[in-house]
Amino acid sequence: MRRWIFFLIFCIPGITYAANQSGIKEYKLDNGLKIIVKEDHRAAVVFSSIWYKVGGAYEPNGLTGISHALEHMMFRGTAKYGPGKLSEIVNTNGGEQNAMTSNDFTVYYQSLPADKLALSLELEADRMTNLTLNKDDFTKEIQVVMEERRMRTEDNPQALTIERFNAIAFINDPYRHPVVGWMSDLQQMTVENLRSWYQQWYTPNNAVLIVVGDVKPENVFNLAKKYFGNIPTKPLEPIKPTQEILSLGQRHLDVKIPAQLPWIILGYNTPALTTDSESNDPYALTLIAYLLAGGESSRLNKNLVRGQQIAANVAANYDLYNLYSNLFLLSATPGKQTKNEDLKKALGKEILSLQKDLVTQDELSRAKALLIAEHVFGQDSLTTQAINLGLPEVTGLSWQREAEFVTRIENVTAQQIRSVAKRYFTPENLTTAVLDPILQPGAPVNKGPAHENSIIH
Amino acid sequence: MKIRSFINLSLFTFSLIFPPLMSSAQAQSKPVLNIQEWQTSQGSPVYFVQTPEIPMVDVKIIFTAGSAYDGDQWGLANLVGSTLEEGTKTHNADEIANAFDQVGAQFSSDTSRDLTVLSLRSLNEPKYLTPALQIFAEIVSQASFPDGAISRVKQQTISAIRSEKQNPSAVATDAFFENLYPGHPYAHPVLGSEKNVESLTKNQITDFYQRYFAASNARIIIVGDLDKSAAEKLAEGLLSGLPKGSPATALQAENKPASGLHALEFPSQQTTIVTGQLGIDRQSTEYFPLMVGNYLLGQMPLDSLLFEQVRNQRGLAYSISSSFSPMTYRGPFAVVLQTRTAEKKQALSVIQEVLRQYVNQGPTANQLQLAKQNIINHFPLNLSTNDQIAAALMQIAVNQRPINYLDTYRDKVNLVTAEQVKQTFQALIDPDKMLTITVGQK
Repeated sequence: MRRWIFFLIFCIPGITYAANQSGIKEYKLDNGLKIIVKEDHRAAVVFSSIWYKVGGAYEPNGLTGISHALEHMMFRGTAKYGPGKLSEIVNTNGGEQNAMTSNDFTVYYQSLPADKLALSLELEADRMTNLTLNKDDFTKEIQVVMEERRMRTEDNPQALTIERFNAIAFINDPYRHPVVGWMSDLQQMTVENLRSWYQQWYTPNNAVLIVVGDVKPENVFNLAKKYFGNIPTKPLEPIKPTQEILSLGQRHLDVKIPAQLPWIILGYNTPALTTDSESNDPYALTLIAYLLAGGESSRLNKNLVRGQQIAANVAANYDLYNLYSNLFLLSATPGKQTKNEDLKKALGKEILSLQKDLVTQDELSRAKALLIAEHVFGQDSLTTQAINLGLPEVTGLSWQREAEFVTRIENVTAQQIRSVAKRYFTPENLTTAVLDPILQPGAPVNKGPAHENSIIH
Repeated sequence: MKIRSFINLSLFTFSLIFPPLMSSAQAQSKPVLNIQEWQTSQGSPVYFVQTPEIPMVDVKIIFTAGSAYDGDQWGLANLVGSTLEEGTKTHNADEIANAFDQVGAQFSSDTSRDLTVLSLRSLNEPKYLTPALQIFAEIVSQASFPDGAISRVKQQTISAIRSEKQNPSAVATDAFFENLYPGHPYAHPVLGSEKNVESLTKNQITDFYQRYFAASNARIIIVGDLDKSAAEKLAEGLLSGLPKGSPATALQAENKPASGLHALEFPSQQTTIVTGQLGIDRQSTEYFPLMVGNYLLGQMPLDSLLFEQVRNQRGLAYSISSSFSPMTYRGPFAVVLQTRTAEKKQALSVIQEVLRQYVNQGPTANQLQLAKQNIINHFPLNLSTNDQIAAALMQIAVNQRPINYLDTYRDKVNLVTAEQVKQTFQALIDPDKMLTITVGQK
């Protein structure tokens, strides 16, 4: 019976996958620009994205945040399409545009009516080489970036904790720097720094164009050739290989900041698919995150939130596609009566149990079902489809890794889960952090219902 | 609401993405979406769109059972919604969790001021969908609210309340509602207050559940890879265990908003500013001029008047927007930004200046044309995924729009004139009587 359920759950999404991958085509221009097109004809819409292999992990000390600052300046435009013009053209054509910077990549994208794809390629080809990088614009935009840092990091206790956590969990790995950059680096950044960063990394041979939507691959290729074809290749210096050195023991961090809620993080240094592309370990780690905190039936939810009631909430995170090494993260908010230490111990016990006992087939198939169903649900979004193709591409792998995902997940066994847990969840690999709130004296207090005075002055 | 902590993925975007506005359809013979509408045998309206491309189904049950119906028992609606999946007459929380997870189904409950919406996303093959729907129907109609689960979910809710209290934007929004709706059912936060949540009783929970989780108070949305007869069976089965009951009664209409500046001390680097007034309800006849006008003022991506003046010209903020939120009673109109504390005065005066000029003079013909073109041409993009189609059906169902709403929407946008925008803004917004909340250091 159990086997039967297992088979049924996984064969259907698998078949779906095989069908979907067949609609993907890859091309390359002579100047090195790679083009990946995935057809999705549900609606007359296209998602067009250009990925540059540069991000937080490429940045040296003193220049942290420069990839992201440059991303902002890319919207200040070129001589041909200045700032107002750029947004106006995209807006009048019904488009929507934005960009994202991460550790391993910077991506610019537009969603457009499918017949307006050429517009996206023209604008992106133009700003790949002709960016203005005006000093006055930069002076304002770097203020915007600092506001973004304040909003997302400084004024968000958990984000601030994670930033400090990364700075000690990674020893010599570039992921120890925040993508948005340290404030002191942002304050000293100049438009000249950005110009040389732009010239160094923004070149067709360092970019991947990923288009998903109601398009014909051949047409996309022809348009790409038309707009990007004449951009010359620049020599790219290969990035120096960085190998995270071994930790000499467990690390711990206390963060004492104004906040309302304590928070606990456990992170284990682990490989990513790029640093361990042969074994199935990264897929086992992906599944472990789901076994521990994927759905409501997962172990931490069942045991710590519902069973012992010592956590108000739990989360687990593992990113498959990273250029360098990786962290397997667990985080939890203690219940009202729970001591931080007790919750930390309970999390440690759950890790120990993964190392000692085999997970049951029921648990394993639930985690797989959740993961694979989520992957099918991801097909609903053009953005998600493009990201799933882009992530392996910018981390030194091929988009075709995406096609193997479901099979690789299906193949993970209970024995593998146990041996991977033993191999990576060691004291040497572990960093822990506790966010220990300093209660804010002036913090607003939620008063009783309406019959009390409800106006704040 | 579901309470879950998240890990920062260290993704930094160029700009925040605001929830897309509903936009619409050109005059054409073929309907934009083939929406099928009917009622279950108990009279619950059902809205259905068949999308055969992806083997999945989205189902939403909308109950008029938001926090506005809490009465003095703040947080009650949210607690009921959050405790549904914690036990039924025949299954405990662990069994319910297993039942959803083993077929990869995603269940969530979301309470706002007006509504509680229960959502299920599942693969469409009957061997996954049928068990997921069975447990969904059981949760909806046979929730048993075990004592242990109630006290645990209360603690989780209190944790969520504290999480909001360490978020300056949430603190500012709560204070804005408190002052915009003094004594009104919209005044208190959806989550309630710690003290109130602590004191809620099982009787209050079951009374609320029995009163509001009724077929006459429910609407169903179905989008996905199934045919109409399957959708009919689905809807019928989902609510068959519910009493017919009666629709929620109309909300209190009396309300005297406060105005002026209310400064809250908060240990943050930035000051959050929320400034606004009462806006419109779901039935407003001024919806189109106000929506189009506001799009230009503070929604249009990277190019709204506020974005240009506050961010592009002065670098005062990362995120700046204005919005109307039509609700059952008049929802707010609000401008929201975060800026470094030293610049809060300047930021506020720029907002006021932009707003005053806009209310006085309205948009120029060119500006309006740009906004209209964006909304109209963006239309197909807002209805291209199951997610978006479900969101559009929600709007139609909750706002009681006609079934051809999407087919005429673009025409209605196109007909909006600059004069109408000016007049409707002038009739509604008085820049001298704004309610302004600031949250930050002195």
